[in-house]
Order: sequence, then structure tokens, then C-alpha cells
Amino acid sequence: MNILVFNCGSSSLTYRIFEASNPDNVMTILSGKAHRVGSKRPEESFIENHYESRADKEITSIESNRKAARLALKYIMDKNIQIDYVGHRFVHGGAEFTRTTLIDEGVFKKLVDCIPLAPIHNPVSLSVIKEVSEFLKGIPQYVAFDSAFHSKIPYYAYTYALPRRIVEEFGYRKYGFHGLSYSYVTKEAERFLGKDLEELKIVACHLGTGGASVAAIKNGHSIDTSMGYSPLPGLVMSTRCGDIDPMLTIYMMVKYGYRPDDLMDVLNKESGLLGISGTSSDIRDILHGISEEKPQIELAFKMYIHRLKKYIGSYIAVLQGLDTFIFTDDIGVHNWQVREKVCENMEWSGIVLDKKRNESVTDDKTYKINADDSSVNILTIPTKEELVICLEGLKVIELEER
Amino acid sequence: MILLFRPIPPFIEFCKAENDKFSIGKVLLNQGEISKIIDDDAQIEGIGYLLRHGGEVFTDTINILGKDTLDKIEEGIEFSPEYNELTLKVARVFFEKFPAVPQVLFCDTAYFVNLPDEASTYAVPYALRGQGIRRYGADGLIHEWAWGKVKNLRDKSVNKLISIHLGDTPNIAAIKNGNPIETTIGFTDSEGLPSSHGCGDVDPTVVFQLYSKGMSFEGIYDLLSNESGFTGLAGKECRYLDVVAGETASGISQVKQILLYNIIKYIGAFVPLLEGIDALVFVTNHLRQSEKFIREICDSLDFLGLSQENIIELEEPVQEIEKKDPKTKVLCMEQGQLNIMVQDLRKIINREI
Repeated sequence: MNILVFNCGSSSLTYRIFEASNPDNVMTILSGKAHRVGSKRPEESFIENHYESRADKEITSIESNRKAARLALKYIMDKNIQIDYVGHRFVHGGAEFTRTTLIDEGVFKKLVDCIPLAPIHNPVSLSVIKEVSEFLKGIPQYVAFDSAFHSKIPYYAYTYALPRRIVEEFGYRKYGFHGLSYSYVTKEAERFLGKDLEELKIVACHLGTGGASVAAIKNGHSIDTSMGYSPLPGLVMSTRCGDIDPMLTIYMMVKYGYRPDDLMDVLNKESGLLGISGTSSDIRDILHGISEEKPQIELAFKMYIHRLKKYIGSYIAVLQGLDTFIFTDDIGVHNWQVREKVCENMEWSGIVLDKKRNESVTDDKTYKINADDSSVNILTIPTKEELVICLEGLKVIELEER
Repeated sequence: MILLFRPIPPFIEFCKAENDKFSIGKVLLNQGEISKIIDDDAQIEGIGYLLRHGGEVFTDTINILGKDTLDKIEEGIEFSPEYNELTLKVARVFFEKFPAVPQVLFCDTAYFVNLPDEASTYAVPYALRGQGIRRYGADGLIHEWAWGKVKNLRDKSVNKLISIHLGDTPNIAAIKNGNPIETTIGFTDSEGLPSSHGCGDVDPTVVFQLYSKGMSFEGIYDLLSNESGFTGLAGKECRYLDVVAGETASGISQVKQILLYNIIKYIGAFVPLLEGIDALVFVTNHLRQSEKFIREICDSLDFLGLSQENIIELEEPVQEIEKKDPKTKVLCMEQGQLNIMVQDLRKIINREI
């Protein structure tokens, strides 16, 4: 059976076809990724495919995730690959969805109702689902949710100090995201270190080119994480503001006359690294652009690190110590400069980086990059959200067939 | 007599301090009420006013009041109009009435005005920074005093301090060599730790959702700043002393757990910014009632070597908690804002500052 998995980021679309008959026998047939989707500089967008040990790369303008999905589906059709199921990562299913679900008309409608919970991600995932249903008519699709890994966060960590009646009526609480990724890297750390999850106190940083978050993980599940009810709060992200004073939003609407929808867009799409630097939402550009003449670019980098360090410190406190520190996703694995800066002067926590090991990391496997005298294992783990989505799909399909 | 004023909308609170005795009351600011505050023949040595929010206009905590100071309050009024207007009004009246008496404006945000950019800036479009959208911090009087007190201890080894103010608006500051480098309070004191009525950190998406459900901006503002926090969580009026005392009532013990957890998170958050810490200081008006809570906080920070054994009295009002691992100091101090204002005013009257 072939399962095609789409993983929609806010600025990229990753996809992978697995040949999978059971969880122990999963093989990748094809993988691809559309980069810099919706970038302000369309000449930088490209899509790459890896199939039968060949790699193709096409530079083309990719204005949306839907367009990226169409390019991917065309490529797959050209290669005559049969698809039996299509799985999608869906960022926020709210209280309605807590487990992987096959999509029918009713489910699709409920997914549409979830748009306001994650106004950047949910619409793009829905657009890809639509594209697939038009392109591959009749092929069953399912959605795997990013919040499930965080479902055991204790009440004192997920509760906002809002009036009870409001919380009960609208369900405001911390949900957390990137759960598929955290679930993968946690298991990989267990395997790599040869230790039981019960022994590990983990802080994991999922640093993507769009969204980014941190999670505190104990006994194999999340006990706190930096995103919230929506994927807006927490770290400084590429275009999302992360934590701000909630009163600031009211002040800006009343004092400066922002319309709520516009301000929501500003905080989600024009803030973060892009907002501070004024030039780029991409940490790679920020790192290249730092110079004395451009203080805003340097400030953007400093704020990125400052906020990240605050969360790492918080979670070390919450875990009452640390033994495993994980970097994952694109920025987490590819940017040694970010890791070096984050680990600087952290001796108090037992984190000591080996600079040479840190600089030689690549994305082919898990690396251990701490110094020998570090009491914390520092790992870079390329995340495999698609694999988790495929395995989630197998579970649902099995249930369906019973 | 020393006369102090603090804004507590819609009231102005006044405090008459004679020797060590304080008498406190509050009035609405109309002519008839103001005249009730003091007798015409009262002997006033000095007057102090608390300015809750100084924007970027006030860079000193202590400001000798003059006409220019009053004008400056007006410039920065927008950041906390409810409070600052009260301070301005009462200061105008008494400045005119007692021109010969030394008068001081205490700005509670000034201590934080030079926070490092990476701490004070929000990750929103940078142009907004120029329009005053930044993190201001607050409770500067308390944190600045705490730093001074810690520095005056015989042991001079403390350079990296986390100062925790426990009370109805609890908040935490990270201080390095006397300069604050981070605070839990942001643009307003709604950000950070939950307070008696304020929400603390909340996903801003919630604001937009409440608006789309039909609430007005005023309604949301009121909800987040007056109906949330300990009171919102408990479902009934609940203040700091209820939280630290009322464990037996099940609802309150959850509130306490939430406050404790958020304090632990912020202390943890500030340690990497200071690159390790030399001391934690707890400052509160209610030291006796807070003792157990402070011990619980320290126990939860045992990985920093903070679980404690005995409390030893240092010079009044400072206590030190003795710990197994002496590398980080834990100090407890009983102090309140009014007391600090009186002490500073006395120094000014006696020309010590």
C-alpha cells in the first residue's frame, strides 16, 4: 500500500510517499519539498524531488501551498506512482479532534470550523486537501493532528488565568503544536541514547523556517510547550510575534485604529524576524546580514536567541534539571550559529557544547554535539513528521478495515 | 507629617505618615473630597506621589516636583490614563497649595527604562517601537530598593540577582550589576504573572476571538485586567493573601499551584539571561504569611541548590534562608512601596540625597 503524506509548513510543503504494509516495514519511495513558498522574492522558490536515487530541482514561482501540492501531484502522476491513501498534518483540531481521522464531508466541514484556531496553517492544509480531492478523485484522505502529543500537559501549565466562565464557554487553554515532530525526536533520542524515556528529562527545540516552539518532555510526554491556544505565542518566529502583552492588541486597535482582522494579520504575517529586521523573515538571511550599519537585523537575531533562552531556562526549571537537549527541524539542524549562541554561557545547567562537533552537523542522521564534560546530552535530530503521519495513518486504516 | 498619594482608580489613595505610624484612606477626586484629606493647619514636611507609568518620558525613579514635571506627566499620560490622570490631578492641587513643601514624584517604571533592546522590544513591526510600543516593566521602587539592600549586605559577592515581589501584582525582575535586564511586566502589568485581577500571559489570539464573539474592546479590557487572575480562576474575589493562606479550599489550592508554577517558570527563564545567579530575593509586605509559599518555591528549584533548611535573621527587615548548598543566596525582605516612598522623602527633606 502506498501512502502519500503532505506536511504543510507555513513557508514550505514537504511530501513523501511511503510503501507501507505494517509499521515495521515502511519504505520511502519518493520524497520532495517545495521551498520558500509564498516568499516575497519568488525567484528564490523551488521544488525538489528525490525518486529512484535521482534528484530533480526546479526553480519556479510557488505562490501558495496549493500550487506546491499541484506541482508535486503532477510529478507523481508523471512517474506513474499509484497512491492508496493521502495523509495530512493538520495543526489545530481544537477540542473536536484529538486523534487521527479519515476525512469525509462532515469531517471536512468541522476542519473548516477550526480555521480561526490556526489562521495561518489550517487554511493552507485545507487548500492542499482540496487540491488532492480534485486531482486524485476518490482517493481516501486522513488528517493527523499536531496537538495530540501535548494532551498530558498538567492543568497548572495549560490554564490561562481568565475567568472560569469564559474558559468553560469557549475552551481557551494551551494546546501546543509540533507534536508529531516532538513525538518522533523523543523516540529517536531514546533509541540513540539507549535509555528509557522514563529516565529522560528533555528540552526539545523545534526550530522551523516558519513556526518554532520549545517543549519540556518528561516520561515520554510533553509537560509544557511554548505555543498556546493558537500557534501565535511563544518564540520569535519568522513572521509571528510570539509572546506579547495581550493588552497591546487592544491598545493598538483603540489607539491606532487597527481593524481586528488586519492586526491579526500583522501579528501573524508581518511580525517576528521580518517585523524587527524589516528585511527578511529567514534566519539565514538575518545571519548573513548582521552588520553595524543595520542594527535592526542584529536586534532580530538577539531577540530570537533571547526568547529561546528564556524558554529553555523555564523548562529546565519545570523539569527540575535537564539531561537531554534536542534541536530539530530546518533551523535547528542546519544552523550551527543558532545552536552555538543558545548554548553559550549555559554551564550552570550542565549544557556545554563542543563547537567543532556542532559545526560539522549534517541532516542525514542524529548527532551528539556536547563536549565530553557536559552533563547534558545535546542532540541534533532531523525530524520525520511525515513518517509519524504515515504510521498514524496505518493505525486508522487498520481500524477502518476491521 | 509626610503625605503620600497613590492612584487606585477611580480613587486616589492617601497615606499620612507620622514617625512610624501610617494612616491610609481613599477619596474621589472632587473638590469637597480633597479638602477632607488634611486639615488646613496640618504640618506637612513633604509630599510624595506615585506615577504608575512614566512611558519613556521619565528616566529617574525620584523626581523633584516642579512645573516641568507636571507637564511631563501629561506627555506620557496615554500609557496608563486611568492611573496617571489621577496622579496628575492630585499633584496639581497640592503643588499649588503647598509651594514651599518638598514634593517628589516617584516613577514606578523608570528603573526599567533602559532595559536591553532584546528584552524591551516586542517582535512586531519595528516602526511601532518608535511609537512607544515596548515593554516598560513596573514596580521599580521595590526592585531598586531590593538591589540596594542586597548590595549593602556584608557579603558583597552578589552581582546577579533575581528579585521576586510577592503581593497582589506579583512580578519578577532580573538584575545584573544593579541594572535590570528583564522583567515579567510588559507594556502593561497584565503581562507576566497572573495577579489578583489581571490575567498574566495569555495567547493574544484569545482577544481577537472574544471580539469576534461580540465583546467590545472595553469589555475585553475589563475582563483581562479586572475579572481575571486569582479572582477569575477562583470564581470569587481572591487576593494574594487568600492564595497563600487558603490551601484547604480546593479551588484556591489550584490557584496557588498556578501562581507557583508561573513563578518557577519565570525564575527559570531569567537564569540563562543572567548566566547563572548569585541570589534570589523575595520582597513582600506580608513576609510571615508568605513564608511557606517561599519555601515551596525554593523546594521546586532544588536543582539550583535552593532547597532550604533554616531561616536566619540578618539586619531588619532582611532574613536569609540557610541552604545545604551555599552557592546561591536566598533572602527574604519585608517591605512595601509606601515605606520606601517615606524613607526616600525623609532623606530628601534631610538633604541626604
